[in-house]
Amino acid sequence: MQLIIEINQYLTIKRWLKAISKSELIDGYLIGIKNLSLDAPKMFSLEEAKLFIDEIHHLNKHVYLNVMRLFHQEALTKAIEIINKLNLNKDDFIIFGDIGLFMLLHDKYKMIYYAPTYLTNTKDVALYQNICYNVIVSNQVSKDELIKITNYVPNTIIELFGQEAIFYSRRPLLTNYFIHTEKKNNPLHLNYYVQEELRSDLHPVIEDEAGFHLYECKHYYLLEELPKLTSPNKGLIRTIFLDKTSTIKIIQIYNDYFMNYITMSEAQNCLSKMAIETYKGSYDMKTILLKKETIN
Amino acid sequence: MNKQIELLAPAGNLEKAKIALMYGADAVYVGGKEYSLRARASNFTMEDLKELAAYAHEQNKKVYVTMNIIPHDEDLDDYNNLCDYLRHLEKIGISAIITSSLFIMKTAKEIVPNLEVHVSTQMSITNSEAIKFYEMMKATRVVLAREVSLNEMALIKANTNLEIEVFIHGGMCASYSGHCVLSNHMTLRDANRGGCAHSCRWNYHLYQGKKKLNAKGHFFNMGSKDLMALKYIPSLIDIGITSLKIEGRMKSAYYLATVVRCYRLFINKYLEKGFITEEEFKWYYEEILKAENRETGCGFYNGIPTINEQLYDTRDETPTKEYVGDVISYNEDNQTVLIAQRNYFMIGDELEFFGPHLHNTSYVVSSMIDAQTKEELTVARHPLQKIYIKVPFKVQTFDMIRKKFND
Repeated sequence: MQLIIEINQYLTIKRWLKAISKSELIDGYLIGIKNLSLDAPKMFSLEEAKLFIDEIHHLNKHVYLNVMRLFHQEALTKAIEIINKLNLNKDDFIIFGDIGLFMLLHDKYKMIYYAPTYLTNTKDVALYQNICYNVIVSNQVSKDELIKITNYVPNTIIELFGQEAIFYSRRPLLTNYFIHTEKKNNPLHLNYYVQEELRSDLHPVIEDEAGFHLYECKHYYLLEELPKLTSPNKGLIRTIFLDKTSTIKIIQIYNDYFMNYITMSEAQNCLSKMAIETYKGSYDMKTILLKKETIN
Repeated sequence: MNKQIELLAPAGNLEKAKIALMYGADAVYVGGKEYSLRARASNFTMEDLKELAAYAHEQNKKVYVTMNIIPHDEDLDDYNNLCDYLRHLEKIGISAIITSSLFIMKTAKEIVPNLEVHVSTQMSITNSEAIKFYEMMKATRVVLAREVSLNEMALIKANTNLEIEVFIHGGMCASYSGHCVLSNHMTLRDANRGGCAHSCRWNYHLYQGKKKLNAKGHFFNMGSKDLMALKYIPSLIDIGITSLKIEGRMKSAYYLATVVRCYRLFINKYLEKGFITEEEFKWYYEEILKAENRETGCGFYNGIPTINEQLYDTRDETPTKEYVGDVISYNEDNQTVLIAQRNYFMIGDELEFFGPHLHNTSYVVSSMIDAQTKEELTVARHPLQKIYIKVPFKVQTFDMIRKKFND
C-alpha cells in the first residue's frame, strides 16, 4: 500500500519533507489551499502553493490537491479559476467533495471523490469509482464494512489515520456567538473547543470562510486491521491537530510497517507510546437507530 | 398569472397525509417502512401507500416516497428486496422516490424507468454543475441544500434543466445535510439512517484554550431557528422553482393543517393577484403562529445567517392558539356539530373553526352535550371525548377547532 501524507505546518520544512520523501512508499502529498480546501491543517495561498507544488514535483512525488469543500454557485467558478492557475501536472490528483467540481474538471484532471458520509456501502463506492478516477472509502463505516467494501471494490484509497470532522456547517457559529455575547474574540483563531454540557470530551472547532467545523477529540487509526485490507492501493494519513513529533512519528510507523522494517506488535507499541490520544473511531462503532435498540 | 408551483407537505402517517392533501398540499412525501430517514416517524406500510396514492390521485395530486437513508451494506444487501420494493411503489401509483444513494437511483431507473427519481437534500446540492451530474443519472428533480440563498436559487435555476425543489418551512439542520455525524459520535445514533438525536441542539461550553468563554448558566448553541420563508414565496414562484417543501414528518395533523393551509392560501392569492399587501402578509404570518412552531427565521434565504437565525439559550414552542378539537360531522338541520376533543375548553371560550374550505370563524361556546351520556357539559376535559355543540354556520368533517391560550 502506498501512502498519501497530508501536509501540515511541520511538513513544509524543506529538510523534513526531503527526508520523508526518500521513502518509495510515499506516493504524494495532500495540500490545502485557501478558498478551496476543507479540514486542511495548512492552507497555502495561491503563490505559496505554486512554490510548494514545484518542490513536491522536484522530489518526484504527486500532488493531491484538497478541494473537498462544497461550493455554492459563484464560489465554484472562483474555485476553477484558482485550480487552473496552479502548476499541477497530468499525474497529479484532485480530491474533491462536490460533484459539481467533478463535472467541470474530470476531462482535465484525475479526480478522486472524498465523501466520508456518502461512500458507506459497496455498491455506491463501486459506482462512484467507475465514474471518477478513484474514491476514498468512508471513515464512517465499521472495520468489517471497510473490509467488505475494499474486498469488493479493489484499488480504492482508505484513511489510515486522522481526526474525524463530524460536523460541517456553513453558518459562522463562532462569529455569531461572539456578536451575540459581545465578546471581542477572533473566531478565526485555532484554539477553540466545545464540550457538551454533561460530558468531558473537548472537541476542537475551527471557523473559516467555508463555515464552522467540529472534530472528534481523538485520532482514529487503522493498524491491526491492515493485514485484512489487502486490496486498497493507497492509504491516506491526515495530520490535522498533530504536533511536530507526532507528525513525524505517525508517518514513520506506517512507513516502517508497510516496508516490513517493524512488525505489527512493534508498530502497535510505538503508537501506544505516543503522546496523542487515539481510538478506533467509527471503525469500531456500531450505530443504533433508536434508543430502544441495543448494541450486539 | 400563468405560473404554477407545487406545495409539498410531509406526513408521518396516513391520517396526516390525507389532512395535508385536504388542506391544500399538491403532493405529500412520506416514508415507507424501508430505506427512509425519520425512523421515529410511523412510516407507511405498502397498504397505507396504496390507499394514499389512490386518495391523492382522485384529487389529481401526488405521493412521493422517501428512500433517503445513506445506506450501509446491510441496507442494500438484498438486491431483490430493493427491486421488489421499487416495483411495488410504481405499481401502486407512487409518483417519485426521493433518494440519497446513487445505487438506488441507478437501480430505480433500470427497474422502474417511469418512476421519477428526486435527489434528496441529503446530497447537499449547492450549484448547477452538481445538478448536471444528476441529470446524467436521469433524475427528474433535485432538492437543493437549505444553505442555498434566494439569489443562488435564481442562478441555479437559470442554469439547469431539472426541476428544483426548495424548503420553505420547518426545522433546519445546523450542518450541511448528509455531512453530519455528530449524533453518531455523541449517541451512536446514525443521523444519516434516520436516528439523528439532534445533538446540535444541545448545550455546549465553549473554550479558548483552557479558558471557558460562556458565562455560567449560558451556553454556546449550534441549533438554528426554524425556517419560515413566507415572504419569499412570490420570488420563488417568479424564479420558476417547481416545488415548495415543508419539513416535518413528525409534526402533528393540526400543525400540518395550519401551516399547509396558510401557504396554500398565500400561494393562491399571489397567483391570482400578482402581489400580496402588507396587511395580507400580516394575516398569513399570524396564521402560521397558531401552530406549534419553534422560533423562526429566514435561514439562508438572505445569505449567510446572522445571529437573528440562531437559537441562543431560548426555546419558544408556544403557539398563539391551542388545538382543541376535530369536526367529525355536522347536522345542517339542527345546526349541531359533533366534535372530538383534543384539549381542554369550556363554556364561554371563544373557539376558532377553520378548514380547507372554511375561513377562520370564531364562535363563543354557549352550550355543549356529551355525545355518549347526553349530559350537558360545562367543560370538555377528556381527550377524544365526543361532544355536540350548536354552531350557526356550516362546518365539514376534518375541519379543526382551536382557541386562544388562557393567560
